[in-house]
Amino acid sequence: MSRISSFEVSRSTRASKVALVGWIVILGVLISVPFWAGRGDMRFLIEFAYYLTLAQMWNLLAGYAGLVSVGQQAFVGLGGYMLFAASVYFGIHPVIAIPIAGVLIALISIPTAFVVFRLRGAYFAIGTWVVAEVFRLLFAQISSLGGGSGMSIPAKIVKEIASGRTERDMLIYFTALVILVAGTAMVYLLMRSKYGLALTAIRDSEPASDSLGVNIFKTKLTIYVASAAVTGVVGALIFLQKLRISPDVAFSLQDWTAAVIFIVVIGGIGTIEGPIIGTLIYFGLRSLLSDYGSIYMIVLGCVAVVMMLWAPKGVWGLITQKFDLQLFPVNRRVTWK
Amino acid sequence: MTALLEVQNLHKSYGSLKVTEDISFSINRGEALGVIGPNGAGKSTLFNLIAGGIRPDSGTVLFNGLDVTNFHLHERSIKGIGRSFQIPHPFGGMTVFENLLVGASFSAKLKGQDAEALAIDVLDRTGLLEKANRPAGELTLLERKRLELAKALSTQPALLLLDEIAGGLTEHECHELVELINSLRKEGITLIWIEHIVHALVSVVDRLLVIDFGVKLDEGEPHAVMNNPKVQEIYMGISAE
Repeated sequence: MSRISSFEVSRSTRASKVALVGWIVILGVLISVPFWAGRGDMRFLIEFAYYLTLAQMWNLLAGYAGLVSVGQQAFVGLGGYMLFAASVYFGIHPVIAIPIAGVLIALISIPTAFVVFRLRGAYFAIGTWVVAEVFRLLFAQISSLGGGSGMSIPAKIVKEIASGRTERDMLIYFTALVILVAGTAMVYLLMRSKYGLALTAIRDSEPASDSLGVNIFKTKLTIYVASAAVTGVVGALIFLQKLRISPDVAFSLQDWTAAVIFIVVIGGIGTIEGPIIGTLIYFGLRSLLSDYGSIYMIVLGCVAVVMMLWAPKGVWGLITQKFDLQLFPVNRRVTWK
Repeated sequence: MTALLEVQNLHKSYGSLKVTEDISFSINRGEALGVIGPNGAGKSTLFNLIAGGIRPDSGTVLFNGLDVTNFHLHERSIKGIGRSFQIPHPFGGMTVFENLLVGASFSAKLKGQDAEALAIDVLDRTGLLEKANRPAGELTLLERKRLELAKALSTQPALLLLDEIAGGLTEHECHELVELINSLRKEGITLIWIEHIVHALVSVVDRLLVIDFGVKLDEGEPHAVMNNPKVQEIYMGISAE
């Protein structure tokens, strides 16, 4: 009996403590980037940040909650359009419009969830895609937002974003960094909380989690809404950088979901480390093969097929198979004092 | 004194197949009830009607005086009905300790250290303390059965439902499990146990309920029930000893 009163639950490992220092150093370097790097580097890092955030959100949805969606472009597009509507028609500063878009998209995702949650597995995937297509067709009809050909943010509003081009780039860069850190922290803290416990339980056995008091529907809905909101925020950011939007680009399956699925599956689904590695690989392959045109897509496809056959847990899965490593520790270990 | 659980005139059919026909019984606090019957008699259906996995076509389930007939599984768990599964459902991706935190956090609604303390206490009571940090997917069958029981206990149930928890165990393992369940009984837990292994059941329960083809065949003191000619007919050759 003496042992039960003297236990301790620890989360971190030695590797994760070292990793924490590493993350702080990387974050410090990223904060300093605008003060020494060129415009091109910053644009590259902004793109990297929004792809990584999209990947973390798709991983949260598919990898942790088992909701394999191919319709996340719905929320990217909605986020972009809301940014345009808020800044052009309501005179809201675009950077302020980003979190507003997140809140509105969280609200829109609730009725959407009640439609797609009626479907399971592959049907759920197709359902989410259909929803995204409906949004694309809908926005092509709204002539005040440019209809099918889209619209640009008027130069007057662009000038209001920041005092100059460099300042604007810096503002967007820091916004992207904040969104990336907040999005990743959200996934990490969620997975460490009791909701992470519930999600893992649901993934392993739905009837058992149900009988242990877990409200499966509510848990999945919460994850769906949180993931939609952050995806929408990223969408707003993407089109703030692009300064131009059209339905086909905003609701692009290939750009905002297919590429993101590639990233997560290659990196390692169901882990926080996986999307980070996947994004590095994706951008690496892209800059390596960008001169070869369509061969690039063929190589990406081959890499995906080979990975799914030989390493279904992704690159991070291969690494953890060899080393007992956790850079974002979510597990609990009981030790006795 | 009102009964902890009162089942009134439960009916459940799948198409033309009647799996539960007009079953009524009740159980008082601190009592242990065993449910037996041949394969396909409707034991598991009855079990799921009580635990909340299945809704009856008619009839009511009263728990603590509250009509829970239309409650979901997770709501009944929160109210105090804990259950084990016939085929263990370990959360293979978690440690044994984390498996217990699920019920402690969501059903018993404990926070932080209180939930952890309950999980540790249940591990101790079920003999799984040494396995706390092991992934649940790596456990042996007996350990998985113990975990099944531990997970049900982690919800701090007022009523514990066990579904063929001794099935597939060796004679020795079965004996160990019976000892464990008897020690829980001494703590005052109310129990409904469905089991094929009649001698294990009889050594624990106060009363037996026999069902066949969805109908209640007999109910009463275990030895008297086992001596009922009708029961002997379906349980040919199996004695209570």
